[in-house]
Amino acid sequence: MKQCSICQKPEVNVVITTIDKDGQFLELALCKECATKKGVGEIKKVKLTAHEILAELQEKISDEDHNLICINCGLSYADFRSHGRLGCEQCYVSFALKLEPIIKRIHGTTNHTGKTITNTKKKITDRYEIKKLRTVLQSAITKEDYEKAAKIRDRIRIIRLETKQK
Amino acid sequence: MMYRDDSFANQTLPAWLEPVSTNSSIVLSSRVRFARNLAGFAFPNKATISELNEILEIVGIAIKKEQTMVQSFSQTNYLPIEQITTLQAEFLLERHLISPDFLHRMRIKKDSKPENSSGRGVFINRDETISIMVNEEDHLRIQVLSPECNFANGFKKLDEFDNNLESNLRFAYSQQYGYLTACPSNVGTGLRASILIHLPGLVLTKEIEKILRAIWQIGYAVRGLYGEGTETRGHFFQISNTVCLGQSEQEILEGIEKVTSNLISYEEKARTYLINNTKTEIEDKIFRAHGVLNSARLISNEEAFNFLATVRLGVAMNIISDVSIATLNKIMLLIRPANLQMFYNQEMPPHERDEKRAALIRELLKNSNN
Repeated sequence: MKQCSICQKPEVNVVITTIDKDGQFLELALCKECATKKGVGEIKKVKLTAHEILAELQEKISDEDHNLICINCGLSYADFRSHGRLGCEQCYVSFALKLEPIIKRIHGTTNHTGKTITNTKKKITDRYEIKKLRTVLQSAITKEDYEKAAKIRDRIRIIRLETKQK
Repeated sequence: MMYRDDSFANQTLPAWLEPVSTNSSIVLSSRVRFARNLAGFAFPNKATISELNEILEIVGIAIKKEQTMVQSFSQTNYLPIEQITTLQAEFLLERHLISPDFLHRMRIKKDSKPENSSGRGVFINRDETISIMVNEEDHLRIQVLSPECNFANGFKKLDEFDNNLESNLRFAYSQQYGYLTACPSNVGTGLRASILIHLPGLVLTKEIEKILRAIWQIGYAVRGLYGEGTETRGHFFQISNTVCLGQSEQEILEGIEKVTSNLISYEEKARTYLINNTKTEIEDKIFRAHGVLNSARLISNEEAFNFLATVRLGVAMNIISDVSIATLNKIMLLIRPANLQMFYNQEMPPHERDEKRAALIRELLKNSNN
């Protein structure tokens, strides 16, 4: 665990780099309190690498994270937080609300621009996906797992909406 | 898909090593890669062995299907990871054809857990400019290596390849996020563009830290010789983009090109400073390195690499003229531990390697004199 360079508290909120009088680079790790005292509280938006952002997720995993599970591949959000890797393409939908801010921190945006797969192909993908989801939906209803069924129904709606928007 | 014994052309050299222009001493090579996944399959870390094998098969078929692919891959090496020895895998890593992560999966195979290594493989074309890793972190990692800073050509090749694959494969894609990847840091274009750049001037003038920090602050990663988590050596640095989403492929490439040209001009300035202010010191350093390489009987990979890098600087600064940048690039690759053993076609303990390495360096330097 890193310590604050000033008060030695095992908490680091900001890492700043300064140049000392000999022209050497000096790295200071500061806790929130000392950072504010030093007047660097404003710099708390230190740029983190994707790796660091993902590493941060490993801390304080809650029960809720264990219960949030991707309907398609079975990966829990807690698994993602521990390893930083998603289980399948559906995870982006299953964990949508939680992933969005993370993706925004890494890339500074949440919208793709650039190369796209062709529309016709996307439609084929969607049709295939809806077909697949319907089967899962049917089996959820049969098993009377209505919570899961509701989630799948929502997913189907989203895909349909996306297709219409084109 | 067959494994052939001659798959490892152990004495041939990759095309990206050959500089196109004579003064290409600063940027050694450039690399572009796409991360892609097949729709309908779990990502490799969550897929079962049978799914991984199915993915491998589907990708293999797609590669063979396209006419253009067949042409450029007519002499393709396909290497299923189960059949690669550790030495061969290290050889591929040293040639930047597989990642440290792929090598790691290869190594844990030895601990008898087949699920860690099955269903993975790598396709490599004959001149080693294109490699497709299947089931590393993503289903596909398609990379193109080019000599010097040549993103335009490299990307054209990569894009064509990707289009051809896409006409036969369904890639995981979302309207909002673009190409979907196992790690959210690759989502979007899935494009990573990097250069391997030689910056001894900036290191010797002690400007390097300041400059690399600035590069990092504007959103580029600085890494070691083999990418993420590896060490830098001989003052070679790998610089790559970190943002893949919200910028088009073209914007990403323009960004890294701009950073590269800035770095080149800083490095050139540093070299001019060295020659104007510390001429004797820099000449001493370079001639000593040259002397050791020409005389040593035992030399480790690290020592040799550092001295070769120093001589490389000497050639670029016109201090040494009896050897070319191309020859030095070649030696720097051949002396790496696995490459050296593949070159001599035998496994060797470290001490023996040091002896063979010293001999090979002397021989190649001598030949380039003639």
